[in-house]
Amino acid sequence: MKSNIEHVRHISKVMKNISTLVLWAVPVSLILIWANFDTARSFDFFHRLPDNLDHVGAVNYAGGLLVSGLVALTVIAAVYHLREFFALSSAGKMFSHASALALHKFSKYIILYAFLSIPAETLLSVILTMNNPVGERVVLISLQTYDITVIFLSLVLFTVSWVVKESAVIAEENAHFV
Amino acid sequence: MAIIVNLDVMLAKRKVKSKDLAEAVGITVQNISLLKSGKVKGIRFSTLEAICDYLDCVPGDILEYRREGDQSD
Repeated sequence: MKSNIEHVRHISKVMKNISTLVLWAVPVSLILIWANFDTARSFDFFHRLPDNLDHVGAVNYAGGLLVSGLVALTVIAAVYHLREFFALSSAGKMFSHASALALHKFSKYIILYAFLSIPAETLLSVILTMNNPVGERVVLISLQTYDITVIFLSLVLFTVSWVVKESAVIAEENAHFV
Repeated sequence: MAIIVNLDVMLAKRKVKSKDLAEAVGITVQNISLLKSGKVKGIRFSTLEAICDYLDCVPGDILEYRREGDQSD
């Protein structure tokens, strides 16, 4: 029968592999979405953006890719540190300083994502409607329950990871006591 | 470091082996070795008490404060 530690190590290994997959999936899907903008819209990928996006050109697509690329970079950085955290957990280093630090960095990038995604959508609405006729250009400022939930959860995660990080420092210091 | 651990001196004076002290105190020989070499950040009062009890000495026999730059010994 497997012990809890063995279960944690096994699940961490699975999560590490999923994180690796996500690391590759984010940039690939970003390029695919922007390369097939209309198809992506029909799948509700840009559900918050205005409907009148009939004058979108190459420059707008490039701008949109750049803005959403910046947001995606924060996600990639977050997942990179999450992968590092799971790698350490799967190696049995569950309460090490390095593991706590990886979790803390993950939470920092999630906070960055949470706060960056709001102005990014505003910027996207401007970029994608800038070629529209006067009166149909849109500056979208949106703050929905989803955004508030993400911000709240990211702050909770940040605080918890901070506590874990400081606890790991104390635990490592205690290990040097005889 | 300003705090010097003189455990090896006390062990020699009392003719006690590290292994025997480790057994009596209830810590590993590796930790005794680390303590002797001063490679620890601290010592618990319970450990110090057990060492003093076994070696029949006082904390001052094991721990010594030497001011930075002091070249005594």
